[in-house]
Parts: sequence; structure tokens; C-alpha cells
Amino acid sequence: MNDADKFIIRKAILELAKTGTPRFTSIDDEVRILYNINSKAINLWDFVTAIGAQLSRPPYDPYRETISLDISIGRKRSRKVILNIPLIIYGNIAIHYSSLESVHVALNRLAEKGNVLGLISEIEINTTKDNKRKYPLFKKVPFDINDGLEDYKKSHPEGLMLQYKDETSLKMLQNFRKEFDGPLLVDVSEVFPLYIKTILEEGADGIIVDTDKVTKNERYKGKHAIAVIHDAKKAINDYYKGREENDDDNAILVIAGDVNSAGKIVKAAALGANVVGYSTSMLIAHSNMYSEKPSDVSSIADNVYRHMVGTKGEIKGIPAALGYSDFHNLSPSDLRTSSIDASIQGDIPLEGIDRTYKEMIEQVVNEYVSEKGIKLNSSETQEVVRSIVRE
Amino acid sequence: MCGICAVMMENRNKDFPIGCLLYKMMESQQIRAQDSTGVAIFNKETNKEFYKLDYFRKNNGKYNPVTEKVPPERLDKTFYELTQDPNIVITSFAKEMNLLKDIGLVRDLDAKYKIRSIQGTHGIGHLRIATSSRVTPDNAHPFSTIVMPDIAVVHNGEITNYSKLRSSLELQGYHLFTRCDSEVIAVFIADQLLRHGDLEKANYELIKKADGPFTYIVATSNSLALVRDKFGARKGIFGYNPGNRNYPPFWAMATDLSALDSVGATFYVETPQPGKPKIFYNEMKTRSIPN
Amino acid sequence: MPYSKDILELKRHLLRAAESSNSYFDLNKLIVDVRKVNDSEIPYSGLGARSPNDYFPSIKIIGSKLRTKEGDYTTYNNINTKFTLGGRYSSNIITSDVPFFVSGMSYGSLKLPAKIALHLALNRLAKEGIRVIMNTGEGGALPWELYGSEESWSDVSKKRHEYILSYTDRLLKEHHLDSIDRDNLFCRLYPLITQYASGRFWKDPSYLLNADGIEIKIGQGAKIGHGGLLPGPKVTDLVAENRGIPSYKAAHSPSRHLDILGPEDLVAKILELREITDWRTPIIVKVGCSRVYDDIEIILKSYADAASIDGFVGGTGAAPWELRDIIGINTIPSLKPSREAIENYYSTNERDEFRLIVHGSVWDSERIAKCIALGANGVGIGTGFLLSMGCTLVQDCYTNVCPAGLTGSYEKLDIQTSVNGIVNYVKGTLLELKNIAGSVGRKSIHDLRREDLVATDELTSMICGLPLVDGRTFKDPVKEIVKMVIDKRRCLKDHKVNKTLEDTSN
Repeated sequence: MNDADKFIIRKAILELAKTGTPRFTSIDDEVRILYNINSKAINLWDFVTAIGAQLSRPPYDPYRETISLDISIGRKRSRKVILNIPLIIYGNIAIHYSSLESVHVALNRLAEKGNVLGLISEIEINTTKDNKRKYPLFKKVPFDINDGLEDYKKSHPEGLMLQYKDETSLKMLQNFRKEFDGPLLVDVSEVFPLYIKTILEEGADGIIVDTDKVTKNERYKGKHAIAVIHDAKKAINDYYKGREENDDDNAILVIAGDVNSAGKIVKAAALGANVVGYSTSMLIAHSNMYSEKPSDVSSIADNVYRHMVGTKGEIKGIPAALGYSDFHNLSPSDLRTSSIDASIQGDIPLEGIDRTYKEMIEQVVNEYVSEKGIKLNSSETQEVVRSIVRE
Repeated sequence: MCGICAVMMENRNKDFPIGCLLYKMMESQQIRAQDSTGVAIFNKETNKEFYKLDYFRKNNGKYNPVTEKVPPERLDKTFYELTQDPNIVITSFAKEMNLLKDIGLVRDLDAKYKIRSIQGTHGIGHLRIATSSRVTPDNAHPFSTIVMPDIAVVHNGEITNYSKLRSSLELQGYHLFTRCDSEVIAVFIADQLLRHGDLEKANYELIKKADGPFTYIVATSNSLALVRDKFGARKGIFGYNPGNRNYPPFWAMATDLSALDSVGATFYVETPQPGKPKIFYNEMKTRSIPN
Repeated sequence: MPYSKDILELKRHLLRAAESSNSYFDLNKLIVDVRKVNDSEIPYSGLGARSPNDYFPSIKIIGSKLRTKEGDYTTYNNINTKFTLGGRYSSNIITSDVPFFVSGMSYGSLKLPAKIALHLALNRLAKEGIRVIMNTGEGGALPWELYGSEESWSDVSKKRHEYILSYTDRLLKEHHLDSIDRDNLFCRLYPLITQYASGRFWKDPSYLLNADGIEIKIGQGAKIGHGGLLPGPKVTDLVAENRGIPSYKAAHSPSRHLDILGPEDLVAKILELREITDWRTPIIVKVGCSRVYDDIEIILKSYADAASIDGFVGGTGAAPWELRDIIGINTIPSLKPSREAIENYYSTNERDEFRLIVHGSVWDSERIAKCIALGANGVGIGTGFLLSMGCTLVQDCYTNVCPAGLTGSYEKLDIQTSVNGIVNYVKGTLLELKNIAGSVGRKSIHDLRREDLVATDELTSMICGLPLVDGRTFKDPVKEIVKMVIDKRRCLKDHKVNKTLEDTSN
């Protein structure tokens, strides 16, 4: 039921209820006209849904069973950082210092209650004795850093976040890896989807992809965040192909950008994100700027805190309803879509037929070819599929 | 979502027709599930030189069972050839295991393979009511793997994150034949055993990684392990029959108590702690009180 | 809207912050964030999910007409629209004169006047010869629904009888409906299906014994994998008394039946209910649309008479907002796999009286006809009945405030107008259904077939297996491209041959 449809539906039923005689046009006839106008304006995320647990798979109940959200960041060579909520506060919003301060206070309050989540920030927060940092900070290192790491060690961050720009960034990554023993996250939004394998080989502990930035790149023009997450996960999987699985050696994928509600967090996680770079907390802190009567740090921190508690409840409830006791067990096989575009971009099965659009086309090609007794070699089959799928 | 059962003879007794006990237990649990049936029975004496390979050859929706004896030197080549063919589903890779499965009731399986007369040291049995994969002979339990000989798994419940486990196993290069979540257990356990050889650790590892409500029994050439998920959502019990002049003592495991009753395994009846595997080794002399 | 001034103020500030920053922001969901800021609770919402594509508009019935001649609606009066339920394992069979019925809406989520309006309207329709089935929903049944006939009182003890009457008095008094005629009220002429949900909100066996059918609710489309939910403020003393729960505390049902974890448990549960009801009552199993094929396969193997599926857009009184909007698949795509499961079952088993009932995003006659043509036997409608009582679709059903007086602010609802609305809605829909079936050339509404439908876009054609409007299918363009590729190959080959010929000639 779209907001746009509501009026039509209500009008139609009220007409029936008033007269009790047949109408001239049905709801669908009227909605059909509307769809042709509106179908383009909908975010592709809305076309993606998850399939819940019913009879063939019993759901868990977050009121009975514990649903785990924990994730450990850090591979073999680095110290581990554990997050209790798979979110890192990160956003390219121009942040005022006081907003950051209230997020800091909120994160501390959350950490005290056992809800540790991370923060990526460039600006330092002045911590006093009784206002120590209790959550992991990933300090952002800009592109053009020439001097050593010493500056970044001063604030004792738990991790570092590097931005990868070109080949020269590799040297920087190598230097940092040598000197720093905490987790190193590398933002590859500028160069995506290149270099991921190299970066992981150099010992990076995680890849950060900002879908917002990537979709503005030439290479991903017109594509959606779904395609970006799908490709990022594929690149990481390619790196691990053929290697023995090892629990200590999991590089994580952090997805930031167009992921800002519980539903999208779950969808992104199912597509392959391990942690989500979440900017809404920043935005809530930031919204105080627009208030006629700005509040103090503590009460803004309260706002951020309450929002995060609510979000945590939501992202615990959804995996439970899908039959998982661990948030990180979500997988692409839990998703279905009602849009051909989403199916192509994220390799998501279409609902009802449980196969992706590409698979359906391949099947038609194969059936037709065998029916006609023609032989196509694999490159020709691919050519047919590609020209239909318009990749 | 099925009925499982297992029997292990004490004192390494191998002459007793263990298939008979399994048959009785399965018959008593038949009410739970009627789609397909299977057993895996272990007998050290059966063969020494060859590996026994059972597989189904799919042909127009029909499944023809084939048994092949493969000498060790030809093993890699055979596996390569068989895994290339999409119509082949390898069901058993064994040295001393006898794995039989088909659709239908346990009665039908007995009529076909005379399972009641099969002797052995230990064995597992399974009755299936399908939840997610289709009712075909290759989706029947027990599941074996080509990673390692003599591993069989029967499973009741569901591994909900099976597609994740499966893709991580496939990334490591393992070949899986069916879309059934239970096959993942067999491959996962075999992979763990290849790494460290410790069955208990392998099971703990799986309990940590696998999600969803499940109980499974994994059989190797010398052991049986009864495992329940971390919330204990699914049933699983074991009991002991001290034996008498006519038959030797044995341990039995099942889903329903009625199955234990049907073979008289009514002593020390217990259920394993959720998330703690209960392992029986057939090297053990006697085991009066379970710990 | 029930939002306080604080929330709206927060929303305004957040909106400005979002607009000034260059970040993505879903403006429709802004209120969700603001509500979390306000009370740190999971935000709820009512009615169905926002589905960007529910496929219905992309399907057309060839040559169907809702209306035939001006003023004359009896052209197709002989079209059969009867719907029966049961007979597969049950000895009783429920019959209904329309292939749609009132799906489960409980007392609690709906306020009493709305429930009474439904009750009276269905009674009036039954008197006029149109029997419509009603489902009670999860929250127990009202006294007049369970004790609506003479024989239903026969086994009731005197003490119990007095209690029922006193509870009725209190119910009516609380809602200022004392003037209602009790004899008229305690009379049920329509078939009643009671819901056996994971909350087990009922107190005595009459709930199962006096019902004409039992529906085991595994899940519902709005909140698949999540139990039923009634927020605290709506659990008034009388609702709590009806359900047997503490008042003013949110009623969270378990997300699964604690004793149904798998197919064999479902079989055991159904057999238990069969024993209780002496194999008389038809039993339906309701699931939300997710892995439909597997679920229907399991239901077929259990001893149920019918399966009921509830699509993504299926409504609810209260569901976590985000969960409602991301879990589930639409009604139309789930019809094909469910039909396939049933046909596959019948290919190895004897054909019998198994029924498939569909819920979710079905509001008017054309959608009912489309569901039936695609393989459904019956259709459940919830929101449609609410709309006929004046629902305004603001989706605040989880609160005690409702602009139409249905799920809150009950004083606003005028029972008599609502009864008229429902009666007209049912009659009008029935006439439309007859017209659709008649204009397509069928004698019964159940004779509508897949062949009567066409799809207007590629996706719908693919998902439902329907031809496109121009008679082609989504396969045709693919075949054309294959032909093109082969032609190209031939050209290349010829080119090569020519070239080699040239080479040799040189």
C-alpha cells in the first residue's frame, strides 16, 4: 500500500460501501496509471525484502532467546576490537564540535550498559579524567599525510581509518601496518572496486565503502548501493577463495552512505556488510543546531542514546524473525526482490520464483537452444544474457 | 525435522545384527516422519583394500543407485570424474560403513536392502519429513562426505544459516552434492577432523557456527556423537541397555523416548546439555554411569 | 495524528539537519527516528507494509467488466460464487456464499463498536441469504460470537452463564452501548473461525468447540517471524479479561508456537485439535508468505483442511515498523509456488478437498478475481472491511486514537452506518465478482483460469507465468537475440570462409 495508492483504494471502497452497486473502474485500473508516473522515484532498497521464518524454519523470539550482535574487528596481525552493536558512527556530515561531544557522551553511556559501538572521527574529543573514552575510536587519517604515525598515536585510538586514493596510498598503508598494532580500516570509496585484494594482502583489517560516494563515481553511475555492496563483498570473497577458513583472519566490510534505517542495515548485512557506518546518530546530535532553544550536551546525548537503544531493539528483532540467533548469519539467500533492476544489481532472487533475473534469462536461452538443436558456446550465451540484462 | 536414532554396542561386539535394533527404533518413530528413510551401519570386518563409493545417477528424474569399489590409488581420479558430472550424487564414501537410503517408510527400506540382518558395531538411522529440500532419494539421510571416509550424519531440525556455512565451505574448495542443510554438517565435521582430529572440538566448533534448532548424530568409524543446539530447542535423548544372555549391552540414542523403550534402553536415560556434545567411543570397555 | 508537540519539533529539526547535510536520508522514515529518540522503544505501525510493487495493477483480466448495464445488475445472477471449506479430514463443511471473508481482526486491536458492527452486518447479510465467514483474530472471541445459538448454551453451567452475561453487560456499558438488544446480539447466523495463535488468548474450550472452524496461526504477513502484538495502552481491563492477561501491559505473543517447531509438531498439534473437536471442525493453517512452497508442502502433509497464506501487504493492528516493511513477499508471487506445491502433492496423492486461502493487498472484486484465477480458492479481506466502515488509512492502529473510531476513539463510530457500509461493500463486491466471471464467460467464479489473465510488464509475466498484453511472453525477446547471435556467427563464418577463399585465390 503506497501513500499514493491509499487515496484510490479508500475512494473505491467508500463508493462501494455507499452505493452497494458495481463501480465503473477497479482500483487496479486507476493505480496502473499512477505506477507509470511514479515507478522511477522509488528507492531500490524498498524493492528488496527478506523472507521470514515460518513453518519450514522456526523463528527465534528476542524475548526468549539471546540474539547476538557482537562482531570482532581485527585480523591475525592486529589487536581485536569487539563491538556489541555492528555499527560505527560515521558520516560525511559537517560536524560541529559540540555535536561530536554529545555523541561521545552518548557512546560512553551506551558502552557502560554493554552496548559498545565504534566511532570514526578526524577531530579529537577533549577527554577529561572522569569523561574517558569507553568505546573504540577509529581515527581518520587523511590522504596526504607525509609525516609519521606519531601524531595519531597520541590520542591512543583503538584503530585507524585510512583513505585510499591511488598507488601512493599503498606505501602509507604498509607504513601504518608496520607501526600500528590495532585494526586498520581502509576507505576505498575513491578507488572502488580496485585495489581491494592488494589492500587485504597488506594486512588491512577491514574495507570501508561509502555507497554514497561510489555511486557518484563514473564507474558506478546510475547504479544503486545494492550493486556496490554486492561487488565489495565479491571482491573480499575473491581474496579468500581457496584459503583455509580461519576465525582469526576475517576482514570485515563496513558499508556507509545510503544505509540509515534498521531495515536497510539488515538488508546491507544480508548482502555482505559486517558493520554499517551509521550517520543518523550524528544527524540527531547535529539537529540541535536548528533548535530555537538549543539543549545542553547531556540532553542531546540522551537523545542519541535513546535512538540507539531503539535501533538496537529493531536490528535484534529482524534476524530473530528470520530464524537467526546471530545477526551476522544473515546471507544473500534471505533476500528477495520485486524489481528486475535490484535483481540484476545485487544478484538477488526474484520473489516467487527464487531465481535471479539473470538465471531466468540463462534458463530461457538454454531451453530454447536445446529445443532448436543449436549449439552456443559459453561466450555466446553470455553475450545473449548480457544484451538482455543490459549490464 | 525428522526422527533420528543410533545404537552403539558395548565391548566392541560386532556380530550382533544391529540393523534389527535400528529397525525397531525407527519403526516406533515412524509416526514423526514418512518421507524417506536411511541407515548407516559400521562394521570393521567388511572390507580392507577398497574404498566403497555409493552414488545415485540421476536420469530423467529417476535415481539409480550405483556401488563402486575403488582402490586407493584411483580415488582422486574417480572423484574428479564423478564431481564433474551434474547427474551424479555421491551418497557414501566408506571403508567400513554401509550406508543405505531411499524414499519411503522403513519397511520399504528393509524390503529392499534387508537392513534387519546387517551386523555391526554401531549405526545410525533416520526418518525424514522434508522441510526445505525436495523428497528425493539423494536428499534422504544419513549424509556422508567425500572429504573423508566413514562419516555419516543424521539430523533433526534445521541449520538456518546453512547457505552461509555452505558458501564458506565452497570457498575453501569442498564439493557439496545436494541443497540439504544436513550435508553441510558432514562436510564441516570432516573439515574440522582433517584440521585437528578432535571430534569433540569439531562439534563445539559447529555448535558455535551453526544457527537454528537442531539435533544431530554424527558417526565415525569409532564413535557416535549426539549434539543439540545451544538453546536446546530440539529433542534428543540417550539410554543404556545392560544386555542379558541373548544380547550384549548397548547404548541407544533417539528423538523420542518411545524408541528407547522399544529396544529396552531404559537405564540412565538422559538428554545431553544444550550445546554440549555427548560422545560415545566404541573403544570404551564399559561405561556404567554417564557423566 | 497522535504525535506530541515535542516529537513534531524534533522532527522539524532533524529534517533541517538532514537537508543541510549532504547525506542520504529517507524522509518518509524520519518519524521512525524521531520516535526512537523520544522513547527509545521500537516504533510500531498499523495496517500493511509499503510495497512499491504489489503486481496487481500489472495484471489484467481479459474482457472483464465490473458493470454491465446501467441500473440492471442481474444480468449474471446465476454465476456461482459459493465457497466451501473443510471435508478433507473434517466431517463438517463450512459454506459461504462469497469467495471472500473477514480475516482475523481481534477484539482489542479493533474496539468493541467496530466488532459489533461486523457481527451485526454479517448477521444481516446472512438473513438476506449471503453467508460470509468471519475470523475472530488472535485475541479471543466475544461472548455473542461463541454463544450465538441455542445449543451453544446447552453445556454451560449456571455460574458460567451468569459470568458471560455480566461480562457482556460490562462490555456494553463501558462502550455506552447499553441500548443494544441482547437477543438480537446473541444470535450468530454466519460461520465463525477462531484463531489458535501462539498467545493462546482464550480461557475455555468453548472457544474451540463452538467455532465452525479453527485456524492455527503460525504467522501473519505483516510481521512474519514475529508474534502477535497489542501495545499496552490498548490492553484495557475488559480486553485483558477477555484474553486472560494483565491489563495495560503490552501483549507480546511468542514469535512461534512454543510446541510447534517443525512439521511433525504441526501434525501432532492438528491431531490434538482433531481429537478435541471430534474430527468435526475444519482446520486451517495460516502462514505468512516467505518460503511458501516448503510451508504449503508441510501443511499438505499435516492433517489440515486448508492453507492460508498472508502476503507482504497483509494488515495488522500493530507491528514493528521496520520489521513490517522488510519481511515478507507479495501476495501474487506466492500464489504460483503454493499452487505448484499443491499440484505436486496431488501428482503422487489422491486429489481431495484441500483449499488455498489468500490474504494481503486484496481490497476489491477485481483483485479477488485475479487471486482466484491464479489458483486461490478463497480470499481473506481485513482492511477492505475497515475501509467500508470509514477507515482513513492513517496507519495509527497501534494507538488508542483512530480518526474513524475503529481501533481507537470508539465514540466516533456510528454502528448503524458501519453496518450499512459493510453490507453494501459485500453486496457490491459480490455483484462485481459475478459480472467479472460472467463477462469473461464463466459459469462460476472458481472457473476463472490463468488463461483469462495477461500481464502488462515483463516481471509480472515472469513471476506469474502469464503472457504479455501483446500475446508475447518475456521469453520472446530472448529468443530473438539468440537468433541474432546465431546470424552474426553465420555472417562471421561466411566472412571467414570468404576471406580464406580470397587468401587462397591470391
